[in-house]
Amino acid sequence: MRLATSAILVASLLGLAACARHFVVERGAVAEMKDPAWHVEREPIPAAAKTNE
Amino acid sequence: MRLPLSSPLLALAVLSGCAFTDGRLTLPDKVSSVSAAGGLGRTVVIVAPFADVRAHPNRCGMQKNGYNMDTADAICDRDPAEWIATVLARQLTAAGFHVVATSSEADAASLQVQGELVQFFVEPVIGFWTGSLEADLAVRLVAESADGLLAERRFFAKGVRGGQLFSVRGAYQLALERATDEIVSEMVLAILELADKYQGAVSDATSH
Repeated sequence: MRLATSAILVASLLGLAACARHFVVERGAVAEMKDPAWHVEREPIPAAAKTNE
Repeated sequence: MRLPLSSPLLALAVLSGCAFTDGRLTLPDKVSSVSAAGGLGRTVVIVAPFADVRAHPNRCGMQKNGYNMDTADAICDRDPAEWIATVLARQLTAAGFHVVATSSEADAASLQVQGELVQFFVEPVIGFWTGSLEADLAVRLVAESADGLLAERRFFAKGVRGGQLFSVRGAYQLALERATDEIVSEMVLAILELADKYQGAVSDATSH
């Protein structure tokens, strides 16, 4: 009986550890998949500057 | 009565929650959580459909058995690249933008937004005791304007429906709706930010 209880406890702890690892890894993966801001490769040319060209 | 030899196999398949037929995903038309405002009638061109650059464009997700094995596909009820562009256009309109389909209707400062659907995948993730349904959506937007702006940004959202003993259709839908809400909300706010910075806070609406 005590052996069975211990086995269930160990299995539960392993399950919790696996879940925690999954969420940590997932959170990192999500952060890498998106940009926090726009990458502006080219700024717009103001209308006044275009007139001077 | 003698049971056929295949009975134990059939029972095993049923008890392990196997799905051998493809499931259908209904792409949501509405986004519930987007409440952004501030478009001020400014014109935004949404070039639809977005390009579909998914690694697996022939399916929108997978079904698994209790042993984490891929047993069947989840199929979208329509083209997801067209759908995401349509939903984004609808939410930009709700946020106060004047959304058009072609640049001939826009002025020099108007944003022209093109997109790529990079990922669309809904799948069960089998946990130790229970599982969850996870929907991953990724979109890359490129915004340009006739006066020279060029900007790009990647968006990603994960919608999770946890605590699932069985991967039922409703859980697929809920995970997908959560991911859709998040990614569309982020895209609308990002376009608002770009418009405020480069299109000016003053409305073009006076000209419409």
